[in-house]
Amino acid sequence: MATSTFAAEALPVRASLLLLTVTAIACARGTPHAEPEAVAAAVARYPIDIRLPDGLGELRTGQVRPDGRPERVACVTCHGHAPEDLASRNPTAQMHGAIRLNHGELPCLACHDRSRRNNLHLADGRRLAFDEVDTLCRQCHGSQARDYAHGAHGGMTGYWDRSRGGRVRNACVVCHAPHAPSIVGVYPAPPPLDAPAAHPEAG
Amino acid sequence: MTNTPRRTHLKVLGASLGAAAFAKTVAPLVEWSADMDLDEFMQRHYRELDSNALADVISRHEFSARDEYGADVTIRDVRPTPGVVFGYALNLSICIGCRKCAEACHQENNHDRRSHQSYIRVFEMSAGSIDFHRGNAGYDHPVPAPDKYYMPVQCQQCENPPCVSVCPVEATWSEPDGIVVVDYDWCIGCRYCEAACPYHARRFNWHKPEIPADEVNPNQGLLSNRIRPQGVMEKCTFCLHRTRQGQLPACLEACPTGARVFGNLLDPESDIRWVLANKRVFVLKEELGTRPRFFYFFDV
Ligand code: HEC
Ligand code: HEC
Ligand code: HEC
Ligand code: HEC
Repeated sequence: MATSTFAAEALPVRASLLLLTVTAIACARGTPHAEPEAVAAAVARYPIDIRLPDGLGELRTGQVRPDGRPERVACVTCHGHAPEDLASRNPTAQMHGAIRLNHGELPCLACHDRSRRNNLHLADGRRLAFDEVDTLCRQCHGSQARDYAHGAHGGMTGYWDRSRGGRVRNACVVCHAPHAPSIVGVYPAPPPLDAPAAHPEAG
Repeated sequence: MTNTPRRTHLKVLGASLGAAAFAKTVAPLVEWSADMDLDEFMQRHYRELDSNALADVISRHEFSARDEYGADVTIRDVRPTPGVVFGYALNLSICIGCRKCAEACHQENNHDRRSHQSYIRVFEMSAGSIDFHRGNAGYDHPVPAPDKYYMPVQCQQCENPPCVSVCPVEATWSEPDGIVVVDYDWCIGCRYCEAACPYHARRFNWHKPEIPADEVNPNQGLLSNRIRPQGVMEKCTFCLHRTRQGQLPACLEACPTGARVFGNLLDPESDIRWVLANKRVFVLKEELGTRPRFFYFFDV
């Protein structure tokens, strides 16, 4: 089973190239510690809310309800009864044929619970509700989880100063589809009209 | 410079520059002077205004936003909080170059629609280089492109800001929370600061900004996103009208990838301090001694 060392060892290529040319500056350099530290006052802190996508862990059938909302079905509708029976069949051949798994080499049941399909599970067998999905991701991606905990991964909206207001943050699966988590490209917003092009003559 | 009205400075400047150069640098000012009202012309430097004078200035600007743009705006003079010095960090391993930050800045800060201006420029960079002068800010294709990375550049809020020391009229200065601001009513538009800034972070208002009434952001700061007059310099203020009230800057909130980290450098528990202590951060053009408060890093 994968552990948090996976991500720590995965050195992104473009970063490793760059590090050769980058002068790292110790934090002491960047921090104006000559100035007095702010008093760590024991003030109340507004909460951090984690935003999850709608209808997490329900089967999107592709059908539309009469009220216009997408038709979704709970997993137990089919998986409640004879899990072993289903498990013996080719997993994605029929029912979930649209799923293209591209996430390491993980099998379906690394994340989905075999006998309680309305749950996810951790490596030690502990079951998680679908809305606890971040705990699942954190199990295998320790370094991103640590960065996320310090606001350095995953972004946020709201207040930097939590004595004055709360924050809303995205669950991992808002940005990373669990079955194919790599970030998909986008078309950028238009450039400013006076944007300088490359200056080959410079530096 | 204490109680000297602006006119005197203009004279001094004119004498030292030569007539032709002078005419050019202050052309926008000369253009306006015909219909400029006396109050405006005699308005004292922002830092010398007492609270009554300040209230007058604010209501005059609110009025002209209504008059000239048809927009009901509220302008506030939000002051720095003691014990706060702002810092910003950007994770270059995460940024995908989508320009959502530049777009959010464009709207938040009431930029001219015609030039599609923004305080942020995103440079498309080749792996192996960190010199943004070699990057391309005009790219227009799906991102991230193979073998490229993206470096958004905006005002670095330097501790030693070269733009401040070159200003001949002290129309720009560093605030106690580290933000370099411009008094748009005092700036004479000579553009020395633009030339002095090694990060291309300052912009000049060649035209009166064009913004449709329904697109004007009505939540405005006197020293930040209020609509600038023609002929003055402008720059990123870390959205001080938001951040001095504890909110995050617009560019950070808009980032769909979570590449940006903002906070109080004096608070040892802040996210920004965690980044400085735990990531290998670097600053742009460190050799110049500008001491930016804007940091970059890669995930390793
Ligand atoms: C309409 C019935 C139906 C629903 C609803 C359904 N499944 Fe399935 N599922 C199946 C069938 C049938 C299989 C067996 C393989 C196949 O035919 O694709 C299967 C296979 C799987 C597998 C492959 C692993 C195995 O057991 O062999 C996983 C994982 C799975 N389903 C998860 C879910 C989850 C999670 C949900 C709810 C979000 C869900 N399914 C909802 C019918 C369903
Ligand atoms: C890395 C963990 C992980 C793996 C591996 C994984 N899933 Fe999922 N799956 C999730 C999570 C988390 C959700 C809930 C997200 C959502 O509903 O959008 C989910 C949702 C689903 C759903 C309901 C939403 C949908 O896409 O239809 C089905 C069905 C499903 N998984 C089946 C499978 C099957 C079949 C496999 C193997 C081929 C598989 N999963 C592998 C984590 C995983
Ligand atoms: C059981 C361990 C495990 C779990 C649980 C897990 N992952 Fe992964 N993840 C992996 C492995 C293994 C890789 C492949 C690493 C590699 O190629 O270096 C990976 C790769 C990734 C990548 C990089 C993809 C790429 O191609 O760039 C992302 C992003 C990611 N996972 C996000 C998630 C998220 C979000 C969740 C929670 C829904 C999650 N992971 C749950 C093991 C896991
Ligand atoms: C706001 C969107 C967002 C959220 C939320 C988010 N990530 Fe990411 N994540 C990214 C982006 C963007 C990248 C960089 C992808 C790239 O370089 O192509 C990334 C990269 C990753 C990688 C791959 C790193 C590598 O070296 O390839 C992993 C693993 C990962 N994230 C896990 C997580 C986990 C776990 C969570 C939740 C704790 C999470 N992410 C939350 C946007 C997000």
